[in-house]
Formats: sequence, structure tokens, C-alpha cells
Amino acid sequence: MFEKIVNILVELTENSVSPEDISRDTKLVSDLDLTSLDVVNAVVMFEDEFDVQIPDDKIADLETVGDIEEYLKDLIG
Amino acid sequence: MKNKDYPLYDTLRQITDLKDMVNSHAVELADKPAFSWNEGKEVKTKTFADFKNDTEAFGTWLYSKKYKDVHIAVVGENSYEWVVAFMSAANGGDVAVALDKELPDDKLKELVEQGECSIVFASGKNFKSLAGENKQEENAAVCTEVSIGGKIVDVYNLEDVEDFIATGKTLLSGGNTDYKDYKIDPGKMAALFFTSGTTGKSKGVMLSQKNMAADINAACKNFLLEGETTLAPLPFHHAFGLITAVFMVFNYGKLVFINRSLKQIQRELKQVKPDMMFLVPLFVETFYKLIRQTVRKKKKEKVLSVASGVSNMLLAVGIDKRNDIFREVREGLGGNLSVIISGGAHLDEKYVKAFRTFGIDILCGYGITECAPVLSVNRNHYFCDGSVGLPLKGCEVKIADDGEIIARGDNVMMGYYKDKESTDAVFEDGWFKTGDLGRINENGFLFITGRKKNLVILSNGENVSPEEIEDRLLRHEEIAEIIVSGENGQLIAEIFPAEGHMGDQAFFDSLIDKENEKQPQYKKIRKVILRDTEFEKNSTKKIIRYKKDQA
Repeated sequence: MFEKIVNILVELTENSVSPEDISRDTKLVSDLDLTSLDVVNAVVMFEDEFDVQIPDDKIADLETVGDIEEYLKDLIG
Repeated sequence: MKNKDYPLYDTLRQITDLKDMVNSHAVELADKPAFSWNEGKEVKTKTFADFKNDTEAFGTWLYSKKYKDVHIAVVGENSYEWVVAFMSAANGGDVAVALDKELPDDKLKELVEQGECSIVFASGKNFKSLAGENKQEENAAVCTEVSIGGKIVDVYNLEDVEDFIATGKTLLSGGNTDYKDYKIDPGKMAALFFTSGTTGKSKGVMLSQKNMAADINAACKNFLLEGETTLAPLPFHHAFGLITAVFMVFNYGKLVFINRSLKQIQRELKQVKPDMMFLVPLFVETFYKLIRQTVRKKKKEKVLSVASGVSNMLLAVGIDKRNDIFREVREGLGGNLSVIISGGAHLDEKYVKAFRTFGIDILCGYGITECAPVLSVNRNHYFCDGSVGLPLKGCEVKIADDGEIIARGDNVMMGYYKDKESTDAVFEDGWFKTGDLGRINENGFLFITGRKKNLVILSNGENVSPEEIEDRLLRHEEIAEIIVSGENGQLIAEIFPAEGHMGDQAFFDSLIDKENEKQPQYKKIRKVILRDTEFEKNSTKKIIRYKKDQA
């Protein structure tokens, strides 16, 4: 799962970040330089990839790559 | 697209206020769709007549609850109910207070208190945070009394608006016409929008019906809304997102498709196929990224680059083949999008040029909440790249002696709510001082050159706008970020170099030397400081200028 998340994020940064630079502590906005809309797009891509629904209210809580992985794991169960 | 001066559009009747707009459209465009949105798998639609009936019914319910002459806050994600609540309050002599749904709980409560709101309509997490977790859904359509700042505030769920409309309709059919008969006082405060207040306390911008009507009337003269459909993703608590992107579109008699969640925007672009959109630069930049991603996925980068060249060459000789050549690119944005009005912040010219290549015209404008909000916009067939367009007719815009853009007209706010000191500070001889610096060229186009508070006053008394110099220097790709400021009465530049140029002091000294040669003495940069870390930025990715020395 971690790898898939990383691949989606790398695509969103237009390959300006390489996968090995992303860890669970990597912050989406301050480290990957994603805008708030990029994060929304990332969420849409996670929803498609993992076939889950992430509520809008939850998006602001997803600060790090680790947050995403943990949340998706909870959703998938 | 021709680019020359032409008469203002004069096809619409001048509205006196928002109630006049709603009522007249309900007659002239009765069965035409005014609002649509996705609800689950269903598309809901309300006509112009529905909207009048719903606002009247909701207002009648408000009056029946003795919510008359009070301040009514609305907060939550974009929705039809949001617009009904706001419009009903504004058109019944109440004050509609627009609040940002992203505010932290304590700040939200602070603004409810500052805006002296007696009632709040909130949805989603905002409702939960105001009314408390246990109060929702159990018993629909009830009011929760909450103490905010020592005052009891009635909190309602925006999702229950439909129930209140139903009650209002029953009251109306029973002959209760108090709300319907209310006569608008054009000069009375009807709406309160809060400035973002990133550097201090938020200020409540008081707008009257006259202010909003004046701006809608004037903007409709500069700009023609072609096509039938718009998609509205900008948050409604912003004057641009509401007065311009919703009310002005309504005034044109066109459909506003309400984007209720940004997650849906890509899907809705394809579903709704908007003809035009009102956006802030962040959206334009994201759309551009989406286009590039699509192109990259299909491995057609080279094709796109060649096609752009060919298309621009054809366009130069008057042959417009953009629709055919870039059909696939445009389809990612629905396929019909031909005009984007961009406002709210500076948009880099490169996006304007790139989108034009694809056949989508971006018309940049300029506005400020205090001016309800539009002050200028590029016209459909008369525009100047790099400018924010022509000032609206009926709204005077000029450049003061110190370079500040100042405005006067019916669209200029009444003042800041219960803040005489701040109000006095922004008005001088009847002119509103925007705080932005600009110039107007020989054809009347307005250019923004910086913020007045960032002005550097040099030892020789010259005033220099650092943003103007920064914009020029940022064209060098070796410079990733730059801040120009004053030190001991002289200009200095602090640069965060692009990759491959870190720490190369000699290179940047020579680059700045060359740039200095083209500048008058007082605009020459005397010292270059290189950084090895980026500048600290705020949530909208703007460099926090005053922190530049602390990193």
C-alpha cells in the first residue's frame, strides 16, 4: 500500500520528487509542496486506487504520508 | 479573437437590489434552470421561479420566528441551501453574515460574536462544532441554543432549510406576506463579509444592497457571459465566489452548477461541461497540471508542443483551429470551457498564454471585498496580458500620487463593522484606498505592481515596489524565490537559487549587475544574499515577507 501511495504522490508532484525521498513522516504540503487542491486530487486518486470513500471533512487531517496509510488501512479494515 | 476597444455591453436591465434581481428573473425566466447540483446520483435543479419562491418562503419562516432585523450567519460547504439562507436574510432587511467553513472552532465563534449574529445556519463539521456532537440529526429542524461570548445564539442545520421552506410556504399560502412585502432599503447594511485577517483581527466588511447591485450591474457591462452554464467551485463566503460567481451569473440568467465538494470537480467538469468559470489562480494552476498529467500519461508531450506551435502560427494569420487541434486537452475540462475569469490573486501570464493556445481565454480581473468586489476586468474581446483589465464603468478607479489604487463609487463598502478606526484609515476624501499599488496604461488598462505595505522607501526618498522588481527577476530560471527589501536606505535582494545554482554567489552577483544596468539608479540592487533554504510561506504559498530575515 505504501508504495502505491508514494507513486500517486510522485505523479502529483510531476516527478519533481523521487519515491525514495518520501517516507511516512513526509508532509504533503510543506515537504512535497502540494497545494490544497493537489491534496484533494490525491484523495480522489486514493479513492479510485483503493476503492474507498474519504469524507471531505477528513482531508484536512491527512498531513503526512503516514496519516494517509494509517487512515486507508483503517478504511479497508 | 479580436483585441480592440468596443462599446460596453448594454443588454441587461439595471437592477436596484438583489430582491429586484430575484423577482424580475422569476417572471422573465420563470422555468429556466438557475441552480443545479449533484445529490448522490441525482442531479437536482431549481429554476429562477423556484429560487424566488424558496427565498420568500424561507424568509417568511425567518420572520415567523421573529428573526427580523438581526444578523444571520451562514457557514458550510457550498450548497443551494447556503445561497437561499444568505439571499433570504439579505432580502428581508436582516444582515447575511458569510463565514469561512475552514475556520478553526474558536475563530468561527469569535466571528459569530464579532458579527453580532443571533442565528447561525451551519452544515457538516461546522454545525457539529457549534451545536455539539450530540445535538444533530436526532430531531430534525430544531434550533440549538448555544452561548457564544455570553450571548445566546440559535444554531440551525443548513440541511434542514428545506423543512423551513416548507413551513414558510404554508405560512405564505395562509396569507402571511410580511416578508414578501418588505421594502428594501438600498443603503442599509445587508451583508457582512470578513477579511481574512492573516496579520491581525479580521474586519467585517459591511455591504449594502446598493453596493452589491452596483457591482453586478457594472461588471455585466464590461464582460459578457457567453454560453449557458457555469460550474461554481469557489467558496461562497468570499465576495468573489458569491456576488460575482453566483449572483452575477444569476443576473445574466445563466445556470450555476454548484460544486459541493472539490473532490468532485474533475467529474463535474466532464458532467456539466461548463462554458465558463470564475476561478482563483490556484484552480487555474491545478487545471494546468491536470492537462499536463493527461498529456504525459498519453505520452503526447511532443505532439502537444508541436501542435501548440502550429496552432499559434495559424492564429497569427487569422486561422483559428484551436477547437480541433486541442479537442482532447479541452475535453479534460469538459470540452466547452471557453472563458475563465481569474481573480483574487495574481496569475502568472504563462497560464494565460498556455490556455489561450488551447482555445480557453483567461480574463484576469481585480477586486477587493470592500468594493463588492470587482473593480476591473479584461473584456471578452479587449484585453491586455499582464493587466487586470479595464476599470468598471460607474466605479472610478485612479492611481493616487503615491501609486496606490483608489476607488470611488456605489460599489464601495459602507465601512468596517463597528471599527471606525480601520474605516477612517482606508477612506480619504471619499476615496477608498485599496492598499494595492498600480498603474494605468495609455489604453486605460490597470496593472497591479505591489502592496503598499511592502513599499521600500529608500534614503533618497524614492519609493520602490519590491514585487515589481521580484516579478522581473523571477523570469530568470536560476532564481527559485526572491525577496527584495530595503536595508540602510538601499535595495537588497535575498535569493533562494534554483537547483544547480546553490551558493553560486559570483553567478548571481553578475546576473544582478546586468539587470541593474537597465534600471534607474534608485532601482538598482546593491547587495545579493543567497539562501540555502526556501522562504517560509503561509497557507496560500505566499512568502511571509517579514520573516525573511529569520530563517
